[in-house]
Amino acid sequence: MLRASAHATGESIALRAITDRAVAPLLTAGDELLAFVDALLSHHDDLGAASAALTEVAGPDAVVRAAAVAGNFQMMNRLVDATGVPIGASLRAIAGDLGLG
Amino acid sequence: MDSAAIDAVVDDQWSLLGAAGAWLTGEERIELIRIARNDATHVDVGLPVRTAATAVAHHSATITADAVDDVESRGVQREQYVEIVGVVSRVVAIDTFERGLGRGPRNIPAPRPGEPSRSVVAAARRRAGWVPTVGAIGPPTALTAVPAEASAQESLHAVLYLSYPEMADLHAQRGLTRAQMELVASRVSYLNHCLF
Repeated sequence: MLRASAHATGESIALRAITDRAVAPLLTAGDELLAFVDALLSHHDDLGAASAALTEVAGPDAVVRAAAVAGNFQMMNRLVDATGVPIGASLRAIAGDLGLG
Repeated sequence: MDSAAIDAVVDDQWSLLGAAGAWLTGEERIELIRIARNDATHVDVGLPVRTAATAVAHHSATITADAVDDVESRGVQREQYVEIVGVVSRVVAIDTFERGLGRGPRNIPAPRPGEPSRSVVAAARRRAGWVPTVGAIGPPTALTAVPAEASAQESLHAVLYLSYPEMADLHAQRGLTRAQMELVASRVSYLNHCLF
């Protein structure tokens, strides 16, 4: 969905940034979004600073939506992993591209 | 959609966690909140339920078909397991959202009286996944053996992210562009070791 949505809107995206924080995501506010997610899920990093940085580059609504989307995928990840939803061939291929699986 | 609109839906969902579901009492569902948060135990839900809830909350990527079989062999019906998955995954979602906004965790809801309905969905069958579903298993149908859980999950999904029909719109914007939303989703999945 990330690749498809970026392609549809003409945005640039480096998929490797998902798994390697040394890679610039290219997407607008991408670095700040990734830092926000990392701080949010780690419970250790400085979430306040990450939130402030995201607000600075993308506005307060971006923080609300990033928190909401992160929450949603915390739910969906657990749901699919716990119920045995099969992973399709296309997702496996992308996971392979990213060095996962 | 602003945080107040999301809060309105989350308020309703949070309150309902204290009500009896199809397979668990309100007190048992509230205990699942404590398990998801690693809080102290208040209610004895039994070791198999506790084991399942702990796995869903804290290491869901390691759950296997054998593990679900084992929980069932120790007395947790598949539909009850589905309710555990639904409740725990929503608690984690809501707690994550609150933390992202710099807010503390919500207070534990008050338990409501009532007994589980124990109603079985006749059309739900085991197919490719580990739980019975109505139709082929996928993210939208994974909880359909317990309709209230499927409905709650779908509502929360719609307000936190996009509704299932809206997902077809690659130009959707809600505070972030669709690609930015997907970047967040992908990083969360990566950190959870989930290929979804």
